[in-house]
Amino acid sequence: MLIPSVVSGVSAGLGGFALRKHWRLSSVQASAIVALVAGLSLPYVHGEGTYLAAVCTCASYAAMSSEETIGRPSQMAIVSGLSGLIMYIAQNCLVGVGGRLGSCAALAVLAFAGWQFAVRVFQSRWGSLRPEHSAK
Amino acid sequence: MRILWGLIMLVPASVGLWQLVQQPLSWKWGAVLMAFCALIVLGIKSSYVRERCLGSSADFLWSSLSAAGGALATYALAQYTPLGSVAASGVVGICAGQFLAKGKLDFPAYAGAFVGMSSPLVLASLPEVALAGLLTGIIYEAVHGVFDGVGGRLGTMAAAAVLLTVLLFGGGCL
Repeated sequence: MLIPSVVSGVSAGLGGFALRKHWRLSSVQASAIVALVAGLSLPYVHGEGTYLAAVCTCASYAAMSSEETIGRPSQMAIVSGLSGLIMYIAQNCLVGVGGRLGSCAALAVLAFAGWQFAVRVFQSRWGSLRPEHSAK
Repeated sequence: MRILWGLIMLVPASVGLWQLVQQPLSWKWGAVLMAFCALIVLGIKSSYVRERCLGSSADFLWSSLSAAGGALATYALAQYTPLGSVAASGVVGICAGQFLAKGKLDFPAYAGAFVGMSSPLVLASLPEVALAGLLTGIIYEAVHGVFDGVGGRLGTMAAAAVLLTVLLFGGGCL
């Protein structure tokens, strides 16, 4: 179920992102539409549809991130895929607790933000060393 | 006090991580988990905003009421209709986005909707759901500046409120 989880997460995340960017919906409306469509359709078209609907909903919450946090579709795809991965790993965690999907989405977004932060720090340190290195 | 509210947002992830490490993990998955936790710590550091402006008492009241309303509506739709919790939260979210956006109450109402997605094994009665919803509204107003712009922030608040409610009502079956 790992691959269907990641694929459905990426699709839902990009769907939510598109609804916000191109249809100018608010983040609440975009996420709610993705959740409603996934919740109504997937349980009837796939054996594990209920789980996949939860993954799609989780990715739609990640798509509620601000423009500064996730600005490009490629970034949204990475974060949504990460949401699907976290949902797969954490299937047996916080079972039945409302907000579980949002927590998984937040972890995916925070991990992505952490990765970007680490890359920025690495580039600024490496960038500042480079001229000194070339001057020698 | 500021740090306390920030820590409340970390409760769901901490409980989830604790439950995850109770399961048998290979060293490879353990290493992935460690790296992932390190990235999350960096993410929290980069998304933390020092400047915060707390809302007024009226903001706390309206946010709490709309979150409790969202929670009760979602719980009722999920438990007493064939919609299921995911679609129920979608219906409540669309209604909140349509009718509560002008008063800026759509976000707390949608956060409340996540509370209503709880299983009856965790939140067994409507008063428990209402209390968790009220707590979500309070947390929503109290954590301005914590995880701002991070998708899933509302769900984290809802999960923290549900866990606090379960603790207050003496256990549940987590």
